[in-house]
Amino acid sequence: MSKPSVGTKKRDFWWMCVVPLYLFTLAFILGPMIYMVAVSFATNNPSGYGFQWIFTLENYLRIQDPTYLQCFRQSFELAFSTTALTILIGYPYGYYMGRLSPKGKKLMMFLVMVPFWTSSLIRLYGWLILLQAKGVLNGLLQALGLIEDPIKMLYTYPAVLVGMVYALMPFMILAVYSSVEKMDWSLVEAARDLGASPVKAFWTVTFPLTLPGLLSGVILTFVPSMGLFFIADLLGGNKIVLVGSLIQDQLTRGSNWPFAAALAVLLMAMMTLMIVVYRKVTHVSELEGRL
Amino acid sequence: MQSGTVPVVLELLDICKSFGDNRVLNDFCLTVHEGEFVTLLGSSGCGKTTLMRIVAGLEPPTSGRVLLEGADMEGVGPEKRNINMVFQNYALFPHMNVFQNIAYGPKLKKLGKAEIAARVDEMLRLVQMQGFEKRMPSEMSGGQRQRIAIARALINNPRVLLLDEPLGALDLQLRRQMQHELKNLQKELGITFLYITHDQEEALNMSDRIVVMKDGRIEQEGSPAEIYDHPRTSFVARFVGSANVLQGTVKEISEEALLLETPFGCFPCSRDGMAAAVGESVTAAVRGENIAILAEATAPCHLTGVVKEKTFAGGMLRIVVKLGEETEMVISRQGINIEYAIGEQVALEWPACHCVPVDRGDGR
Amino acid sequence: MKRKAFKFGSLLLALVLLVAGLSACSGGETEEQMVLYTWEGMFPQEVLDGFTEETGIKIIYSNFDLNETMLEKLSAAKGGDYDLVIADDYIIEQAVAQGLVGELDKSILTNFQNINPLYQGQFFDPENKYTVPFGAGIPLIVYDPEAVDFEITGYSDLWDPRLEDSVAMIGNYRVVNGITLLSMGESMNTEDTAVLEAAGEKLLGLAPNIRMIQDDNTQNALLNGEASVAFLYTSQVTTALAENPDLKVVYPEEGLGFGIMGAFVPSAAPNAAAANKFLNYILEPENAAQCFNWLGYYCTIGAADELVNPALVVPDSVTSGEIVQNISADAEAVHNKNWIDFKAACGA
Repeated sequence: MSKPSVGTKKRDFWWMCVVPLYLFTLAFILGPMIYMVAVSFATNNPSGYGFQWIFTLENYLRIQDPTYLQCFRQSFELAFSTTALTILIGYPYGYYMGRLSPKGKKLMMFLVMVPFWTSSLIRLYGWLILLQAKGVLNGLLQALGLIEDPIKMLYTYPAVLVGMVYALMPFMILAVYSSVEKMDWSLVEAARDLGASPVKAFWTVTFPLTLPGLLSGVILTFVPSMGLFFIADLLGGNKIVLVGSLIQDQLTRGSNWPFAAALAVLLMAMMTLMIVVYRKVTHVSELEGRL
Repeated sequence: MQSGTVPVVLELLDICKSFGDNRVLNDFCLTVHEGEFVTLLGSSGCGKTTLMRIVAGLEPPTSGRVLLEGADMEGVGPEKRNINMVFQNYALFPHMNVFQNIAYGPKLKKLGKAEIAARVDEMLRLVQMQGFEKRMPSEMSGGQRQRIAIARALINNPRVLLLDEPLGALDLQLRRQMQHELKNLQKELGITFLYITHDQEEALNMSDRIVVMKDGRIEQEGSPAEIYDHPRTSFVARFVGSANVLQGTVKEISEEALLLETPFGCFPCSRDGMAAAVGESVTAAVRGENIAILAEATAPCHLTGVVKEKTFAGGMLRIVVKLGEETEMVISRQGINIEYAIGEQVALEWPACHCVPVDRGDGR
Repeated sequence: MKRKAFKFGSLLLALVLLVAGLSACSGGETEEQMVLYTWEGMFPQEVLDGFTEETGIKIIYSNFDLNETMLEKLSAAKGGDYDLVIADDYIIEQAVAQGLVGELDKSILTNFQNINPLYQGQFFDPENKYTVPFGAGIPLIVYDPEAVDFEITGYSDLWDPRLEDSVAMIGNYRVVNGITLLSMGESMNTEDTAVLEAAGEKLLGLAPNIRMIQDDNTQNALLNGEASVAFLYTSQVTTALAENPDLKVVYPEEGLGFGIMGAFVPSAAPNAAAANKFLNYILEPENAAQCFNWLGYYCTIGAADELVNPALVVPDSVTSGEIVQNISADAEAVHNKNWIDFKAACGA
């Protein structure tokens, strides 16, 4: 009886590990997605309960209503604004973090990570306490004599933006940081030596080389910001209707699963399209391969 | 020696540099003339890279001044100095191809597209890398990157080119070849080179002047011949060309030479202008290739020892002779073997002119 | 040796899981139990414990937060799994229509006459065969007289430009659409789509005044100064007044809309008898009073009116009001549209 060679044994073991993963992905990720796409073509029962497996396009046609389109538009607007702000604040933060001493880096990393130890919902409530009419910020401003009556900060678009940026900032920071950390600083010195001012050296050397980090940070921020509707609900007083809230609404109160599914499918399709275009335009794969 | 009419391009005056409590450079002074090939030679940690970075403007000195063509470089950033550096790891921009790398400096100066293209072309020809314009740094070998780094620095017509151990990462063959090429390049362009290496062979081959550094100070400065034949300290003697360093007491004095007494015999040493008295202790250095090994001594002044080791290395035979318990001498000569076996007693002799006094403490 | 240990370990794990699974299944069968399915916090613990003490029946308290969720679950269980369900009026109508509701056992319900007739004979149970009304809510306007310098008497006042960005609104689309209809003199339950569309238009006019829309703890906005006027559910009104007795409550002059919560026994309840016993226990005046005082909703058990917090007894001046009922699918569609348009207008 011949013993199996080491090669095949290793391969069998590898198969054993990988097959469950595949099954999991198929059952819990691919499966539900296919179901959702199927449901989006079903017909809702007029009574409002349940749906029939009768093919229809009405769910998608219904989305053309200006109210729903406005909702999509607002969601994208918010996602763009959030991403832009996280870049403006997160890139410098991640950059400086990457240039600190090892001790400084550890400290900053700790500061970025600590909020994750609390649930994001609770942290959002923290913002409520800060921004309320009788909250900390208003109290401070009044105590300093800068304002008489409290400013109505909550339940506005800026409040929602603040909440979103706050929630997604760590992802941008970490993405940028990981790129900056790997940076070969002698390249910046070479640029300086060849005649570049510090600003020029940054834009021609540092920025292009940390771009992959920034770009992955953009994806990490943009994609979730389309879905974090609970932030908009909480800090926006349910006045800012995002696609996510719309879907939730249709699933529960509206009892229109097919329509909700159609909305979700459309959202997913648009996001995928945007990411594909984004990757092409920024040649991310090239940058990723090069370094 | 440089004539007084060759202009001084770089002057370093009492440069000191400390990192916290660590003193890296101590009152370093150096004058570099136009067109010279000056090498800073020393082992790691002696401060040579720090000095180069100070000259480039990447680090400020703790005290002291850097004068480039007479102008004080204090507060002047690296981008404003007409000095360029070739980094040890080449530091080629990975996101730019060869053309863009080389064109980086001229582009910053806002030169015209046609002019830039012409200049880049010229540089590539100079370093024999034509046709490589579209290549990415990651697609090239170490030697190729080396040349591009040099081209990138030279295109800006710097007054001084700084080279930080540029050949360290290359294999022996390539290194020897590049040494030739760099030297020829320097001669052809007439640009002042300030070169760093720890490889004494390299320094001896390429330089017009060698500055041997130790612990942030200059041990000795001079032409390769001077450094090699007339080392002034035992450190220089050992570092460059690995000489044997012996101590002896003065037995006899003549006009040109001294006879020094040791427990293992006596040996002659040139006076080199040194004042000496009988009974004084003198340290002397003699190179292994200048020592003769004999079975029977021919001169009254000779050393006796026992053959300990014979190895063939680098095309030469290296013989270790033991004198007494602690002292050993290394003799090198051509050939593959000597007629003396290990354990055999031999006599060592050399003429006085091949032995120089070192560590004289008189600053010479 | 390693393989043996691995085999033994996995066998042991399987055994442990099996035992755990079995014990979980057989857990409740040693004593009698009743599964109560309703919102969180509908009963004070003393009342529940009191019942268990009296009858020895253990109560399993299961929660839902939306009526629609309850109906889905009950539908999936085909009227089984739960013994007693307490939910809103309109959903009970749908449950009855789907055959998920069983008739009450009046032989056990000796206290049935304690119920206040005002809340009986409603659209979802015209013959009082299926439900015991348990609490009624009348959403009302509550405002802070310190922050509002005019008197609010009805829904129309909410549209007043002086209240810009000051009104906290509950998130119930039927109620919000409903008060708009009432302010137009129409019925909350009208199915005339033209009227409904007009109501939608009018509702958009309310948008600038909305500070926020929130279904939970809406009263907090009033209490912490975020809003000066709020439209609140009954329990929220009670809570608000308890915190700040200076707040003014308005029974709007255009008319009231109220909702009744009903308790019913599902058609295939595992322990219907226990459910009926519990209902009878609740119908005792002392127990009822305890419940409503704790719950903060209007008392539907007439016999307990004397014992309960007077604020929880509807004043005699209120003799009529509408209940929000189920409407046709087309009308629902317009309601939905109005609601989404309204929310969007609020955020613009």
